[in-house]
Amino acid sequence: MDKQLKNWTLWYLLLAIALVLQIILYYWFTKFWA
Amino acid sequence: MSNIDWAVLICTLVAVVVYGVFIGRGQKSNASYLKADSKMPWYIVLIGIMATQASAITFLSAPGQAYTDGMRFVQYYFGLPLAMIVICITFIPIFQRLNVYTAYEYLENRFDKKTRVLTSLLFLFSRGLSTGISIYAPSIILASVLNWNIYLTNVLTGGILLIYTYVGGAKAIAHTQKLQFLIILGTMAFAGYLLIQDMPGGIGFKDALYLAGKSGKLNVITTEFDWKDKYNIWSGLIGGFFLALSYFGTDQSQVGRYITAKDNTNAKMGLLLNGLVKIPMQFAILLIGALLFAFFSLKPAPVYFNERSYENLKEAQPEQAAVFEREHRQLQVKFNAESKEILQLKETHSPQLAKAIEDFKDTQTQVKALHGRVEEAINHSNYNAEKTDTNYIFLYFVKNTLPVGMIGLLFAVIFLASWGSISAALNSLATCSLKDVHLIFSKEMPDEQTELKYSRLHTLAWGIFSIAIAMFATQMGSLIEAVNVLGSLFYGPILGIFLVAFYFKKINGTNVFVSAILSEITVIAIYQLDIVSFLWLNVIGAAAVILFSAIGLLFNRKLV
Repeated sequence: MDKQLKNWTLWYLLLAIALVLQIILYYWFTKFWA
Repeated sequence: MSNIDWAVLICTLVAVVVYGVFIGRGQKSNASYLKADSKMPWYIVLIGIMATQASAITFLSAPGQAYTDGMRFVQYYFGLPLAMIVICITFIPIFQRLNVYTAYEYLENRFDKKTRVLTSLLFLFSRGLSTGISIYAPSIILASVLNWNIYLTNVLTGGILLIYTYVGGAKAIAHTQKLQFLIILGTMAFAGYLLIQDMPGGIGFKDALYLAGKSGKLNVITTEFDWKDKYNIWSGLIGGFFLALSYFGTDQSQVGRYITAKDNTNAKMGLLLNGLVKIPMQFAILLIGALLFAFFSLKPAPVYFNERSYENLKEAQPEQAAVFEREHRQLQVKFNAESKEILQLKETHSPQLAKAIEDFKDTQTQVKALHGRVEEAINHSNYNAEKTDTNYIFLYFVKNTLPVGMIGLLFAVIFLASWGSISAALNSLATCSLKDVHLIFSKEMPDEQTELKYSRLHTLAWGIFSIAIAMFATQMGSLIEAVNVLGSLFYGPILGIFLVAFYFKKINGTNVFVSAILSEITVIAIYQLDIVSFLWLNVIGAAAVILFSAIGLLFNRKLV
């Protein structure tokens, strides 16, 4: 159970990191083409 | 449309209906009809979640939104991945453990029967009306563009899907959504490719982006904070988080998709991947709109994209229309020439580029102002229930530029996108009205076969009700806008009830019941005062239930 919980925590963390990276990418995109 | 387009449109729609009936045949129990026996793998759950959220308006309105206001609408989805995480941690384990049919069933377990019924009724009221509008919204566009009768179009949009939804229930919905979504994404991607290939003057993707960027259409991130501004990073992250949490966590049309998953892992996988792919998908659809702006920077755009409305204006006020057309022609020639000049100056790194961009922006402002005047004249004359022509921009391009066959396929996509979300909504409405209302107040528990028969009747009844709302909507005019924000009026309090249920164990049913009613009144009052954008109503509604419940708890303790 603990192992499964840890695995999911890793996926949640990865999704949050993907969101942050996307926001950074879109911010750069906005500035680059403005 | 050509005969080939008609053939493509009809064959695609018939194929989906036949597939749905075939795959959903032989339903023998309610668990199978309403929850697809909870056997679905993660990718069906993922597609079901995405297809339920993406209605026809998503694919019609989003490109138009980017064309007029830029791509900042994508920020609306920034809170979604975070909401997916919270739902995976809190909501899914509880729904799966209790093996519920509806999200509201849990509330009876946690609080009492009246809280379950109240929450379900709030859902039935808002979702029932919004399903009717989601039939009407694409129908009015199709009827206008294809010159069809609006009542017949309502039946086509909302009625045909009833065949496979009635016969096959959740299983037919899940599998047809898979097919529908693949056709939709494939067609949209190909339409985007053709748009880039057909750019006037043979300009490439980078030049098109350059023009769109200089026109302010690639404004994906906007950081200025304003309570009344709908789309900025703050309202997207905070308001969007609460909206997504309410929608995916407490709206049965979404809960009904992931409770079909075969286990916790498959439900979580579906939701987390939705959090990963939703923003890029929306970005791609909006990018089509920004590229359409570049397209019409180099090639004359029509005076008004909703051609039927404009024709009506022209018939009634020919002199006024002639003035508009003359001004429009002059501006378009100027705007197209300036766009070409910018691209040439960019190539030669000319110092005159900055000045040319300023002129281009000035002309763009004049084009927008003229468009505003045309829109005002059309709205003033009340020729069409729709107030803008945003939803017609992409279809204008489709109808006038895409090759034969693709036009029929694109129109089929509009129907399929509608069917995907409406069929899921009907299934969820039927599940709630049967399980949370009908059976709760029923004196005798029906046997398996009778319950299945009831489920089908509820599905049919909600289908007829939604079509009736769509028919009535043709007479409603501006009320439609109010119905569009209806979701946000109810989502906040519903989410608040669930948050109290999950995180505030000392609060009881009567307390949360009264708090939900007070919160609903508060949200409606704030909406009437028009002091915040509708996204914030989700936050306020949820916070109000928690606050009133906490006050109620303190009050009770003092009395004791």
